[in-house]
Amino acid sequence: MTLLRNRHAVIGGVLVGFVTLLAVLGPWLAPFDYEAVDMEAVWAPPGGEHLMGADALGRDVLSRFLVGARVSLGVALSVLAITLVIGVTLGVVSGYVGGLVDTLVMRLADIIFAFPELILAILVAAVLGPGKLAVVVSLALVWWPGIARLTRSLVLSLKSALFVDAAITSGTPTARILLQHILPNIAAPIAVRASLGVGFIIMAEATLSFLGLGVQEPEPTWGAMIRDGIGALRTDPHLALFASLGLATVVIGFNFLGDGLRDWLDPKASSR
Amino acid sequence: MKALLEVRDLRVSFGATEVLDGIDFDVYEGEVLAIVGESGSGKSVTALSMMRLLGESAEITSGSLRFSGRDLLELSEDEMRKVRGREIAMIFQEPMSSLNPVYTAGFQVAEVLEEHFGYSRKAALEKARELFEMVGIPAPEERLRSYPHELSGGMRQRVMIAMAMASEPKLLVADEPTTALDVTIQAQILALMKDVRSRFGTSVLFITHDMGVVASIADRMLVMYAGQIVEEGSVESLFESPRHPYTQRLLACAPSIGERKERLSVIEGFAPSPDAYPGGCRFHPRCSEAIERCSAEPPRLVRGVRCWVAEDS
Amino acid sequence: MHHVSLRAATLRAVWRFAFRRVFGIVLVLFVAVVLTFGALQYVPGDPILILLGDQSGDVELEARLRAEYGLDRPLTEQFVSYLGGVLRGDFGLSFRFASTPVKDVLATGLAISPVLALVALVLSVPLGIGLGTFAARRKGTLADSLTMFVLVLGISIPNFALASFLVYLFAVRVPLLPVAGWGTPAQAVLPLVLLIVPAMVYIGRLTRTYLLEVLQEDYIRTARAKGLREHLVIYRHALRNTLVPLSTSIGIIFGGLLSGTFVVETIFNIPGLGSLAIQSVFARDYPVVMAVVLLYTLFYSLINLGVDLLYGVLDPRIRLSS
Repeated sequence: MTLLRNRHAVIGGVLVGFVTLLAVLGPWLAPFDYEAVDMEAVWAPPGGEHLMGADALGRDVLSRFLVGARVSLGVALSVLAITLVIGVTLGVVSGYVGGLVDTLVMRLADIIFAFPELILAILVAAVLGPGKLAVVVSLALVWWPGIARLTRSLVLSLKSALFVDAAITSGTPTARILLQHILPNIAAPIAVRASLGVGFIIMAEATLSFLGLGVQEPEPTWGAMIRDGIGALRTDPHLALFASLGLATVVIGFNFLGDGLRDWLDPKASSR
Repeated sequence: MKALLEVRDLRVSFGATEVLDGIDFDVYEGEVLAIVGESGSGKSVTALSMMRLLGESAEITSGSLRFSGRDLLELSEDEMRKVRGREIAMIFQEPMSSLNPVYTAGFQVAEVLEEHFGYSRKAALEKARELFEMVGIPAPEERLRSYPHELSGGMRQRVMIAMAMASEPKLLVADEPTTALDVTIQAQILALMKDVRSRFGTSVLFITHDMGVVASIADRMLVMYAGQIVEEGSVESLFESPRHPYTQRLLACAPSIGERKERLSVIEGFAPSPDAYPGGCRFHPRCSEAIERCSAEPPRLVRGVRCWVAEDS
Repeated sequence: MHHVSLRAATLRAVWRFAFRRVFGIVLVLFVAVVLTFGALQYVPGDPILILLGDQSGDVELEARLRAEYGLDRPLTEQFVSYLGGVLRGDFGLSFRFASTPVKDVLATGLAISPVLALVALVLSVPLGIGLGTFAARRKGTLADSLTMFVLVLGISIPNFALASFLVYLFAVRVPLLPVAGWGTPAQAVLPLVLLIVPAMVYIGRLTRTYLLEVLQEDYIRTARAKGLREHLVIYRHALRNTLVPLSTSIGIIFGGLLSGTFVVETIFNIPGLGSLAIQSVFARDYPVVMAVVLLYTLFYSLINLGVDLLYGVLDPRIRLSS
């Protein structure tokens, strides 16, 4: 079982590494300008000049695929960064200070949990207008409570730990306790949770873009490419199929990697 | 007396680690045989072997279990299943977790009768009510409908006994059935088991680490250490004149009946782990009477004792 | 003995629990009403000007529309009437379809999306449990590894990506099934498959995990010691106990299914609430969007309440505590 798990982690790592490389080098690898419309090449099949073919406007699918990877990972990292800052801050404050602040933060989290994810995203998209900002804001809104709850529970268990107790009674300033004693000890489990979340965030971004609520034209995303391609599956399947393949690969990669990381840090859960 | 169960050269391994090293004993009809030892001595593994319920990680590597004229180890899984709960029943140490939390006590007893004797649900529940009465459960009619979490530890163990006796088995294997219970409840359960045994004439294989319990219920006893039987005999003779130094120590520091002790830690040193049994006599590093021979040559079970010193005297 | 008082205490606990939960749902719905009403105030553009379109110079018509939509009244008054309307199932008038009540716009979708999600839920639960049990009973074998691999794959592939594979396969390569529209049973097959696969896979993974845990329990050993046949040990004693933790995940699965209907309706042009909501966002028909938000929040809350009650039914220990 451990061997298989490790194999999953290795496969995940390779897939994620590959896609990250594509995302970073994308603009230099792309053979065409991803926005360049070429009426001669409308729905050009894969092969030849356009390795992955072209779309309804004759834009090069490979170039859009590469830039799409960049957009997906970029959005995911932004969401992750915002989520971690808000979630960890509120979680630490909630757990360490307790009292009214704690109650308020946790009730807020409860209320957010009471809404289905996509519904909040639609509410945000309606107010902000569909676009990248709406995606980042709505996903951050949905994801911070989970991180905050995890952080809070970690802080609570640490607060009663002897070494923190000792620091508190010896009059160490609160800021120092938080930075020196609390944060380093909660970093690992939060990192695992975050890594497990990346795959789901990418999937959620793609879903919103697929529905048209996310990243807007002419910027390419895999979700929007699949939407554009699905209508043309009958005659020109390459657009939807390549984008689907890319999306599936990166989400599988992150899920495998996250599973592997969790097992590595928490061997008890490895039977799962 | 006639032997109901004849265990010969029973060996059990967890992977490459042998935890039972050739156990031989008989259980006679109608007797209570106690197996005594520290945790890790192999007594619980012995008990589970009788039911062939060791789980995936353990394997019976050799030996025979002759029970009413056939070898249990030769039976198919389905034939063995029909022996379990019908001819050999078992009760466990943890009455808290041994009952399924989502079914009523009555149903869990009735199940045995439905499975082995084809009772209807109604008839099985009626018989379960009688059994509840027999094991001294007050208000049996209501208790049939109680869920395990609504019952005390002692009540749950009574339910387990009712479940075990439902099919009037020839052999009852009891794996530390009183260990998890309060002192007064312990005494009640022991009294109940004696009562049940005389009523049905059931043979009992009683696993315990508590010498007080042995004295109160058993006819004969086996003392186990590190996967081997080190001494056997009638309770009377062993309590009067124990021959193996290990048995002597066990008796010397035995708490009076009911006193709760999780393990017998009063003997110096630690029980060895199965993957690192010492050479020679397995007890010799902890034995104050060890002679040179003890560390060199493993003693055999001769006239009821496995000890070079006792054998010579 | 203390049985009567015990039952009475149970009853009191149940009532307390029910009261707390219903209060929680009312609170969430109130927050949702405030949020949607607030959102309506901040959405870009003046809806009346959008409605007027070419006739934007017509001051008289504009005033009449403002009065009809209640937008000429003070904000607090508007909120009270919005809240009162929502309680009666009246979500106001659509911006896109002039003078048409939102509830009429919703009617078609309301008969489709929740039904789709519920049917998918009802089908995916037994399928997922079956798959998870299959894998758990063969733990460590090739069949288990293969099943697990398929499960991980199924959880990782977004359903619209899966849709492009499936549509390509079943509608283009081997044209067996229709790829768009709504009304015939054949048209429901692919949408349902796409909804069921992720839910089934999620349930399958959880089932396997929980079942392997339960199989280690002492009461499973007791069941075997009783001489029960293996299928009774697995299904009656082990699986029945995995249903307890499994039931708590049904809310999450239903949430996923609701999102799934948005995707599936978009792909197959199904006139459900999801595709309606998306179109309404683009048409700036905000009252319709907000009504969908409120309805889905209500469904979600009700399902979660149902799950809590189910949990109590499945686990006798919960009937007393909490």
